[in-house]
Amino acid sequence: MADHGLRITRAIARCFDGRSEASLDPDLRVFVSDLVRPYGLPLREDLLREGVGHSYEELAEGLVREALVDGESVDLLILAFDTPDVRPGAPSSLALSRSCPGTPLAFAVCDQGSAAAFTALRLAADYHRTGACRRAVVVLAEQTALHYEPAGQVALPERHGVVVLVCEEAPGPTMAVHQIPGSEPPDVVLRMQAEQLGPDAALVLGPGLGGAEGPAAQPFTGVWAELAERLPAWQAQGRPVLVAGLDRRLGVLSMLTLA
Amino acid sequence: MCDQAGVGILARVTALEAVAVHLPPHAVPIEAVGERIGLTPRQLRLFRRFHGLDQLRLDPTGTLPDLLEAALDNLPELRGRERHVRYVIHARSMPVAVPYPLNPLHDLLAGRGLAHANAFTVTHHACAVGLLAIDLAGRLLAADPDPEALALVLAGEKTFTKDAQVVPETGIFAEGAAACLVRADGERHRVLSFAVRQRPEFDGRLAEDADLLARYQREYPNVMVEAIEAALAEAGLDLSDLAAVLPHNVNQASWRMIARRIGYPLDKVVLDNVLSVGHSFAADSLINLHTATTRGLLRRGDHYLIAAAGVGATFSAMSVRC
Repeated sequence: MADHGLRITRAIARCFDGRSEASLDPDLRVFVSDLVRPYGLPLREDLLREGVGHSYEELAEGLVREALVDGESVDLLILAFDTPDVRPGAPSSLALSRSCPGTPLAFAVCDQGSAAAFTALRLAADYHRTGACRRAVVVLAEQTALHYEPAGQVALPERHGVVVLVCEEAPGPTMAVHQIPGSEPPDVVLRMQAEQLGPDAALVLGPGLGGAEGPAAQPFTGVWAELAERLPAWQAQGRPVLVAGLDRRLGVLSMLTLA
Repeated sequence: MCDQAGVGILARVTALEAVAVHLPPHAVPIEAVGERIGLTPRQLRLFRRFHGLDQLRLDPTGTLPDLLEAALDNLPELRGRERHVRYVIHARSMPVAVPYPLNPLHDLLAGRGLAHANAFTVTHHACAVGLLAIDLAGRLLAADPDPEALALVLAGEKTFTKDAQVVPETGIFAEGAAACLVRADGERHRVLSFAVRQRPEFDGRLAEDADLLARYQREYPNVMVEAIEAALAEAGLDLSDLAAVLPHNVNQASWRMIARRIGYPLDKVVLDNVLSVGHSFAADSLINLHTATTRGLLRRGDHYLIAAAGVGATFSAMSVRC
């Protein structure tokens, strides 16, 4: 155990269409009405009438079960999100813990834009380092509907998206997270990090990094879906991996290295 | 949770270095709030006579950042040490508190010389989330080689919607706020253990589902006691070792029942703020710690236990050595 860090051993990503019944729950209208009133923001009556949007519990529960099909016990489940759940007051992470073998400690992190996903992985690694976790599940989720006019420009996902990352104590490349609020210029920091990993490093870069411009189809889960798709091959090749995301709104550069 | 012992595990200290609170000066009788949010006279009688509620501290014109900012204003230990703050964690009961993409936490930090800190919200433990935030702060700081590194835990919320105003047949929310500096190298207020018990089967509409509410109320003291006993066992403590229990301020009745069940003297459960402040979400534990320290209820070397429960449902207990 001494030399084994936490590593991502399984990653599953999926996009969804459709809606949750919760999008027509009268409680949703009450909640968002109260939420926006002090800010004078108009409700999206069309979306509230139509019933649009999804719940993170419903979106992720199948994927969590699929990722944990081996039945091994889970110590920790962290849900990270940016856009709000269609059940905005619900403790979805606790509900998702019921889809895990064992009785994991479950909680959620948010209010950090795209950096919240990296924070969730960082916390999983810290739980492991401090002896409280040998197997963690990190769930990243986004859904398409905002039931009011936002105060500023926002990039909502084109589809509902979920990524499940299973992190386990194991030999091999371990994960490390670096987050730099106010990083300027981010590309220089990113290049230095990539150089440290060597010429074989595989890069997954979020919007606004490495020349990638324009809004992403899946602003929160997109880079992680790409990681999920390509990680098995990279791991088989023994390549170090760098995942980076820049939250322009908050000015936070986040980097995950698997090396 | 896996065993705390083992080779290669990073040793850690989580120490609460300083706590500050903000109690809005506006104290409102529960009847005035009850009328506004639609509680019946019978419900209000239950809250006053059975649950022991009286007044609520509210800030009708203040915003969420106003509450947190005021708590920070009362934390002189932070001044001049902002550069050492690595993490700012908002311990929030309500997962969503402002319209997306507004982010008052980050706006607040920019104005306080804390923009360099890694700031995020932790949630889904409802009113027990303050204890989780302290534990997270310790784990994050354990990886920092700088012994001066700090984490700042903030708690405090607005009573902006029904779910943030009342827990059916249990409690009424208030708007106290708190700020706590956490470090990994302090001698005082060291966390000895942290135990969490979660019961997701109690997630649901307690106000409309009488059966769910009844089952939750029935299990509540059992699971709370289980978390308390687990925290004590992990720290190698006995109830008789505790100089005080710092509860959350949901009501007096549940803590009277729990104190009776575990055989702990009720006069050592800090319940004063249930009457005068009200249930300020995740800030309760820190508000009660501030009360206990300023009133001299805790002396150096004393052990105390912080305990809280949150709908959804999470039950947490943390033992600390003063």
